[in-house]
Amino acid sequence: MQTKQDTDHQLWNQIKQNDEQAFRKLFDRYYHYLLVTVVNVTGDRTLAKDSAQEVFFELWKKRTTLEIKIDFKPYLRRSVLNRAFNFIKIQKRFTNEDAIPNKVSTDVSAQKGMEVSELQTEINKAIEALPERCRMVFTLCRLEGLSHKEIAAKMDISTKTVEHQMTKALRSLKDALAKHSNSFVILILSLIEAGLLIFLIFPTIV
Amino acid sequence: MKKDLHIALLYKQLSGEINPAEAQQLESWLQGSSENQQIANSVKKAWDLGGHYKAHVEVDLDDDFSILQNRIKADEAQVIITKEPTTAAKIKPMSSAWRVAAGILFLLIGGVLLRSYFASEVPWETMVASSQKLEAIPLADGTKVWVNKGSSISFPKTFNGAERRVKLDGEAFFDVARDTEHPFIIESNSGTVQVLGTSFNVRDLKGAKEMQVQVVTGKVVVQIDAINSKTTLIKNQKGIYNKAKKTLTTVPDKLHNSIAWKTNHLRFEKTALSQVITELELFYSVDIKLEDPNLENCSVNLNIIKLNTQAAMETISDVFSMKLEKEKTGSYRLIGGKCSNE
Repeated sequence: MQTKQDTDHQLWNQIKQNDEQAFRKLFDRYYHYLLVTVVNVTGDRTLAKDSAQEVFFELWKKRTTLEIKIDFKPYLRRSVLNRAFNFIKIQKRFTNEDAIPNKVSTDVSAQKGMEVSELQTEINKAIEALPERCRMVFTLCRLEGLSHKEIAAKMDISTKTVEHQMTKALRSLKDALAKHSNSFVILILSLIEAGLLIFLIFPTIV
Repeated sequence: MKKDLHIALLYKQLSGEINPAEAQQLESWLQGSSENQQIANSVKKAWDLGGHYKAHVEVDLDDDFSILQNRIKADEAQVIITKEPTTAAKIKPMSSAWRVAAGILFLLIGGVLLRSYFASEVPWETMVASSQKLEAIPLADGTKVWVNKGSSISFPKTFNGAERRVKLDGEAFFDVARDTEHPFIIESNSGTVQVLGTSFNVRDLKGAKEMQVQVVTGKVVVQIDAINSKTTLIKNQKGIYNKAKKTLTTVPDKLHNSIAWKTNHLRFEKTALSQVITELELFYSVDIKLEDPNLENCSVNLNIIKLNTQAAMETISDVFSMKLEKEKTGSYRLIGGKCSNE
């Protein structure tokens, strides 16, 4: 039986022989994944596209010399994030402290096709509403599993700032959950109230 | 504020970056009240759910793959751009044009430079930019060169000596890889440009009145042997060598319109209309007549990005409420109009 990794590396060997179809297969397999990886962390879809394009462009360009010894998925994931952060450094996007995120779309309904709990949706919304830097610190920690130090190095900020931003993020997310459960309670209460009302008006039915 | 302190502690605990003292502090806070424990629970919940965040991203794989393919094609097209590799490898390349150029240089500069040139055993390569495509030519040291249409660049396959030396006929934009040990030297028809690592444009067209060097980043030294003069240029400066007057002058220029051929972006900031017209004529290779000479000194702020000729002409005539007349291909007339308010 063939494992997935075998197949990736097989594709890579075909790509090395200038096989464009194999290249397309690899693209189809990972391009979307790379976009999501960058958007998760930065919320920036344009940046995600630029970075993912760059990764595949380089893959093709260096196909004859590049040897990929590890699994493709983590390799590509790391490459695309490195690209993204290089772009960010070039753009010096951190000069503007805590810019409000540029919300292209808050994809609440967006999670179609997959079952997402209401609470998860609430958290997703809250993450997308975080200020840029705050979101980045949080997602680098939770999704990329980076340590304080690694996050600090990647974003060119101090570990103190990492801690501060992380705290801020968690507080916002916690508050979002609290607000949600409050509104949930109110909803239940009003349902009960309505029930009572019906009971009072039409006692015979109930 | 105090609440936040505990969130910070909770987060450190969750991420495993808590120290014993902090752990103790957290523990006693948790024991403090059931409310505190509730806070801790919801922070934990936020932490867990946050770890499952996944952005929704829509993509058209066909579209994006064709973007990628185009980029690859453009890149590969550059590699086969009218290559004139030098077959007589040992004793360098040299098209006849280069022999002429070298001869002139010999007179201008003297033997020193040529000795190193002839001594090089490394094969040279000449690239002529014949197409409209603008892709960087990579040199052995990591430097990138964008060569304007009709111009050409010659360079050795590897840089071995104390210097990195290339030859330019016409116009090119350089992004020179930094190497303080090995100065990068460009010989053009009228002079030499020497740098350590920076980006700049050299325009030295045959038959043109001036040689121009526009610096975008870093510092470059322009040397004109014919008048035994040299000058140092920094970022946002342009050096102009007037071949007839034999003068080398430095002017400030942060608009960088001389590299519009590469960026496809013309910028004007409080620029006099007469100057705008000159730049447009040069960039679009057209002839523009301004009927009312009183408008020459009207100034304008304008960005022209990736516009075709007609659209650019319309833009400029609109700004000054002028009437645009196309006399024949490549020839326009601007009629009437008034200075626009700034």
